[in-house]
Amino acid sequence: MDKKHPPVLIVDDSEIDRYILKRLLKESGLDLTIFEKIDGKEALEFFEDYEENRKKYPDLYPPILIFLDINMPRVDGIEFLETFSHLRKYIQVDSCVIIMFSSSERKEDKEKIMAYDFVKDYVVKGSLTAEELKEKIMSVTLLV
Amino acid sequence: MQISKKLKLIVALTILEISITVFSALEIAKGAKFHQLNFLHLKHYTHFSELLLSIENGRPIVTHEIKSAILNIKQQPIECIEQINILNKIVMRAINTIDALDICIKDIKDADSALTSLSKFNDNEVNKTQLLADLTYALKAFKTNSDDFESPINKTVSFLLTTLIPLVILISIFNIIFITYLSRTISSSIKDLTTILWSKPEDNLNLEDSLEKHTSSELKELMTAARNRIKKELFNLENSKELQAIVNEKTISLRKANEELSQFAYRTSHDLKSPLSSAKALAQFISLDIDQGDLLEAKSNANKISQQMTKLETLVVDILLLAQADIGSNKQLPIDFDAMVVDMTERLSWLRKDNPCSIDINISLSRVISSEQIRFSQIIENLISNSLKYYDESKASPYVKLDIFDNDESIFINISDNGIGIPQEYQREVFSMFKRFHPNKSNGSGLGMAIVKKHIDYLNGTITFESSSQGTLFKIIIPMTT
Repeated sequence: MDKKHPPVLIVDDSEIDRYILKRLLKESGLDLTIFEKIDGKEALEFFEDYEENRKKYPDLYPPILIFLDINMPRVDGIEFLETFSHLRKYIQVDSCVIIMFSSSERKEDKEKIMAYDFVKDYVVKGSLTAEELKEKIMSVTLLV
Repeated sequence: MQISKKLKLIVALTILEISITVFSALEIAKGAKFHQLNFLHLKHYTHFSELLLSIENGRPIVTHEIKSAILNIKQQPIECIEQINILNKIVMRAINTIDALDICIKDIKDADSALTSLSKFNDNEVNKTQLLADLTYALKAFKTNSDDFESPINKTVSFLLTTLIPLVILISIFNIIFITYLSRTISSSIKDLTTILWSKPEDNLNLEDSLEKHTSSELKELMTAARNRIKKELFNLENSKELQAIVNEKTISLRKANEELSQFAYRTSHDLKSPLSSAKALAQFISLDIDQGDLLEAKSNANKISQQMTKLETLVVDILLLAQADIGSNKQLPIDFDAMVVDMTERLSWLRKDNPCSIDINISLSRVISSEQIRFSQIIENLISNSLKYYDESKASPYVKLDIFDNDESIFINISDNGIGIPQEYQREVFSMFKRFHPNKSNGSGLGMAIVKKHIDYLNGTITFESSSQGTLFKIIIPMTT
């Protein structure tokens, strides 16, 4: 895998929120390859087509980090996590971790979400500066 | 005869029997008393006789001693007369023993003449010899009286014994037989009633008739009261079951409403906050862009803020509409559907710009519909705007079709399109709040269909749909009272 451009995946139905996150990542100075999916359904398909995508993005797949929104059409963040946790048994994504990226934090949802060991953090949209985001990413991934 | 009368008769007979028995016992006891008095009379006579003998033998006369002895003797006939009542007199006359009473009177007189003689002696009107002669005479009379008294008293007592005891026995036997009979009749009428009540309904087509024939009036009354009471209890029981059912139903619907409200509050606050945090971040980016001289990026971000604000505005408006959909208004005004549709298409002009869909409208109403126009307007506008948003780019001539027609009972609104359709797996969630199924295309609040459903529920109508990749058809039926 290309160590210079580690791949991350942003899953959010709001184009503007995806733009904001991309811009923050850019300003953080981390040199990342960014994949975008518009909801949980598309994101799951991205992992279900594992073998195909490995060939398609030889050095950039699977992503090492997913930024996951919660409220999305079709398959929401919570439903994505449920299916993704099953999927992890069949595909090689052990090094892929998740940071939740949502406008809200409902206590009962948060408890359920943080129970997955591969979910490393829960960030409320608009609460982080680029620098803080960088530190979080560094702490949950093996990026140096 | 009524049961209560029978019972009263039993009580009366029992009282009579007891009274006669007690009376008989007292009368028989009285006979014994007479014997006792006569015995006492003889005793006092003996004492008086000894006293006289001692005086004759030289003992000095002590008048008060003699007087006391005579008074003692006189006491028994007095008591005897007191004992005899009118009934005794009648009986004694009937059995010829009334001379016992005369003997008593004679005895008292004999005592009185002896006492007179004694007081004369005291007053020195008679001498000792005369006094002793008088007293000896009295003594003999007392003895004769006692002897004569015995025979009628014996006769009277034996009469009482031979009449009263058989009488008491007879009355007792009669009572036993009669009371047994009465008890039998009471228990048999209760048994009859029990049999009637236990009988199967089919054996007893007319309960009223059976009751009329076989039961006494009091039992009939009891039955009527019992039936009324049971009816009332059953009614209460049914009522309380009904109430319980209503409470359960209400509890379920309240719980559902509560859950809906909590979900609504969460999603609303989320969706309200989301564009605000985005706008905040974008504003910071604009500031950075200006610093860096990247005015194009700044402009693009300003446009994004504007989009977010529009989204926020739509959401706030929809939330208000949803809240109002629950509130009834009494403005039942005639609806001009043609004018309403024209207004609506004008309001949707922003969506129709750059939209290839044709809109085909057919309104065919047999009468003027009076209702709350705003609800119809919002139902139709939401469905048409959905059809416009989700048109199928791959189809040659995308269209939206609105049909409004009526019959005697209802008004029908059909909205059809040849758009992309609602994916099968999401069709059951169509009317849920904050649901959008086309992430690339949707820019609404996710509340439109919830608003539609609320209005239709309010109007007691129904909404159904059929949807596939060929298009979607919504059918709405709203009952109209004429």
